[in-house]
Amino acid sequence: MYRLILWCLLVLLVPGGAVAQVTMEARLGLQGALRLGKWNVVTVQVHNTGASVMGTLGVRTWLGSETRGDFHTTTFTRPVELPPGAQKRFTFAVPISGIADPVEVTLRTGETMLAQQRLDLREALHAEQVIVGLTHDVSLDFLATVFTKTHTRVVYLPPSELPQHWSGYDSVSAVVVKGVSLQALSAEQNTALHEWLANGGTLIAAGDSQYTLLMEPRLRALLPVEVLGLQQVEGLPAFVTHYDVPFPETPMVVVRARLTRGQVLVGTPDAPLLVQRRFGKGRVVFLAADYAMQPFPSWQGRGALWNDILQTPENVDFARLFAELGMLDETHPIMKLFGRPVLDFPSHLTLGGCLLVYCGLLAGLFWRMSKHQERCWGYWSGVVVVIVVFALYALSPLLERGLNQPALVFDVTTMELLSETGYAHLQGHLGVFSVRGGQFDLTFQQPETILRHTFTRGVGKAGKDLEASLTGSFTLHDIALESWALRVFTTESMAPTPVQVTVQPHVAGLTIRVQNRGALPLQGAMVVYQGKIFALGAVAPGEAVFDDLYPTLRSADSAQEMTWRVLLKRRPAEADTRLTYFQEVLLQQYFGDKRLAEASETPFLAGWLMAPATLVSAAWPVQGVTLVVSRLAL
Amino acid sequence: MVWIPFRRAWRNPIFHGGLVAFAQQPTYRSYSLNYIAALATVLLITWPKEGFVNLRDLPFTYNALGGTTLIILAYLNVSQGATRSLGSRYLSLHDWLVLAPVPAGQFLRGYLAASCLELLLFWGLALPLLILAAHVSGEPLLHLGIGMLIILVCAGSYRIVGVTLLTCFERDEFLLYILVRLLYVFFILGSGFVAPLYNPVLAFADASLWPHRLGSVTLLGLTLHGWAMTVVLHLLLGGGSFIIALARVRWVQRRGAARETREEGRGHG
Repeated sequence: MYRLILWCLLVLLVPGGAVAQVTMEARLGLQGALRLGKWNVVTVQVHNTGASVMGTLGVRTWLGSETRGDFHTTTFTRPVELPPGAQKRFTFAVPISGIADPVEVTLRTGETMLAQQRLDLREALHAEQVIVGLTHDVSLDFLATVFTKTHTRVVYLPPSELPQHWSGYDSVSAVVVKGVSLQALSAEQNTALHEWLANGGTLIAAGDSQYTLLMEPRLRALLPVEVLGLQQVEGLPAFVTHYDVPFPETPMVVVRARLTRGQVLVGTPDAPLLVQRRFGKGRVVFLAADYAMQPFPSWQGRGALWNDILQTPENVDFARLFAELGMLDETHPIMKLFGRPVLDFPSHLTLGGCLLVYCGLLAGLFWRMSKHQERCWGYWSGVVVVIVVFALYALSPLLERGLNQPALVFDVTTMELLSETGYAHLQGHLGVFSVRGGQFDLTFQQPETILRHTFTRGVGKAGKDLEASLTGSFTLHDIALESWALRVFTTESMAPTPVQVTVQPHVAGLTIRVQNRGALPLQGAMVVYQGKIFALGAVAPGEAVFDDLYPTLRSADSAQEMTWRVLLKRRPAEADTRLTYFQEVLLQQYFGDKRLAEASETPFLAGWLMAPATLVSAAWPVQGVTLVVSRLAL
Repeated sequence: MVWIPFRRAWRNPIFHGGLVAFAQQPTYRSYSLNYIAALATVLLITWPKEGFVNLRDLPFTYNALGGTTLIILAYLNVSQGATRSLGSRYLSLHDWLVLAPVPAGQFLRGYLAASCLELLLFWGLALPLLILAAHVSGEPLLHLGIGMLIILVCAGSYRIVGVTLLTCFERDEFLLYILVRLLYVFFILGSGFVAPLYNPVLAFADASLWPHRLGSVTLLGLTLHGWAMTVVLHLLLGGGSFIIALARVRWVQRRGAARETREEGRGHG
């Protein structure tokens, strides 16, 4: 009896019990493989064995460096609803730049911590190159030893575990598909794969006995060849010729195909063995042979073949390294923008005129007062009126509106249209400058936006904790800034292209068609080709413009002029002169010091969307413009 | 209720006389023009280069102008408060009290109110320029309001201090001259080093975007900003000075009355 009472008391006194109801298991990277400096996947499995739970799942990472003064944490949060017995899996893509600090995964409901796990990055499998294999076998393991200068890991994933968003592929260098259907991917997974490819990924489709999988719609739409069937061959003499390494003349089966687009690397257009095509900034590679079948595993030229397929850059990417070290911070477009007159307060001349009138009126009244002592009360009333009128004038027409807001938000974005992919890559340069300090939120137009880099400048300090909410849209919360502090961000995102550009070469030049599918007019559209500029003008939403361009015509611009300078001269006339500075820094950032002749070996289209393309104007207006650029494949 | 003090001030004969004298005296008009020209020059010099945001330095214009206004007004109020502005230099406080037979409190209130007209004029003249400076420095209207309050309270308290000095040391002009200058140097300069909470210029900067160097003070469980403590201290200074001046006026009045009684008694005797 006493024991029963004691047990009842214990049950009553122990609070909650909610902690024990939820179990959580978090995993780092794609099967544990991580790539530092990139966004990596964190998969969280949650199991609720108790009552229904509504909470917030958060993944916290540490970024930046104390010595550079940009050390900060970013917590990626997502609301979770866990009915009784629910077992759910959530995937986050988070930036990981160093191994010193762990990644912290938490599940909270209100202020109560339901579960917490710290993932030690020192125990993760680090790599400089991660290759994802969508295969039934593990025959890609040899790739880990092929690249001597680049530490490579191969990860085998079932199609269901492929990332749902392109940011999940940020750490992935290539995806190899062999004997696996892409039709099983969800629509989100398929879009994510396309977006990643368009932004520079590499997809390799290799031959397999199940060749019909290469004829399925999703893969067929990407491949540079039309798959016709299988054929038996005696050795592969084309490989011998190309790599100068003997290939055993044993009977083997390869996929029979025909080139439809792209470039044959090995073989002929009618019997291609290795073909690649450009897909935006990425590549799709077709290998007709099954690399897992004999005699490939023992072939000496295998390393050279995979070097050709993956085209791994063995040089250090100094531009990226410098950017990560913060050495390019001072040349960030937002920093350049702050070197220009972006505010709109009265000039010395206006101020001088205003002060002269004020002092003159007062002097006049005082003079009249000395002449007419009997009317001094009237003149004193005049003095009061002058003070009140000038105070009211100073309050409104001479107000610097930018400085009299809680924050100045700038968004200058470069939108690169990735031809033939249907996607555009957006690189956003954002700045939040707080005059009086406070906490600010930024809402992004694209739900999957990657924050590449952030740093702060100014007299005031910036908060070290950021919260990125992934609820529907991507929102950065709690950007804390003291007075006179600036926080700068560089972001990347992918979006369906708002402008479709097609180009056809003809005998004397080019025929170009620009179709605007977006909601904003494309202004000042121009094509640069062979050192000449062809103006297309504005393209209204829903409209299309056709034009024939003849490079033989004389141009008013010298081909030796800086490209950015020429394009700035040809920009659409704007009433707001501050937009010119935005355009100038964007053009300088994109084209650098390239001269017109150097920058236009292949034709490209440039135009302007006179609105920010990365941020949503929410609590306070966002100032900015978007440079639209498209390199046109002939 | 709000109008009662104004109505009483209007009916105060000392204030009434002072107001008429203020309206007709050319000295204030000349001072005003010099003062506004000085402030306009400071504003033009510190006005920032067109359109730029200087990330490395906080905006300077507002604090420069506010500081200059305080420095000028502090001197004017201490020194002018200690000057016999309400009559001939040969008239003493005792003579005044004999000529205007009003209670000591009424006399002092009227004298102070009339004396503060000059302060109000100068404070109002600076307002449009300070609004311009606040806008170009990104200061919100709240900061501007606090800044104007600091100027008014501090300069007003210095005026009371000046009047108190005048009532106490009216016969020793040299001592008065030295004391006025010593006190001014202490309030504007010395206090910044030894008692920063007394310094009006630091308080003005503290109430702006600039770093809050005065910190905060907890008083009776209430946490006050540094500038608020400066305002409180100046109110106490003004109040204390007023009490001293009132005691002195009463003493002079009583002593004068006793002397008259004695003289009358001697005359009858």
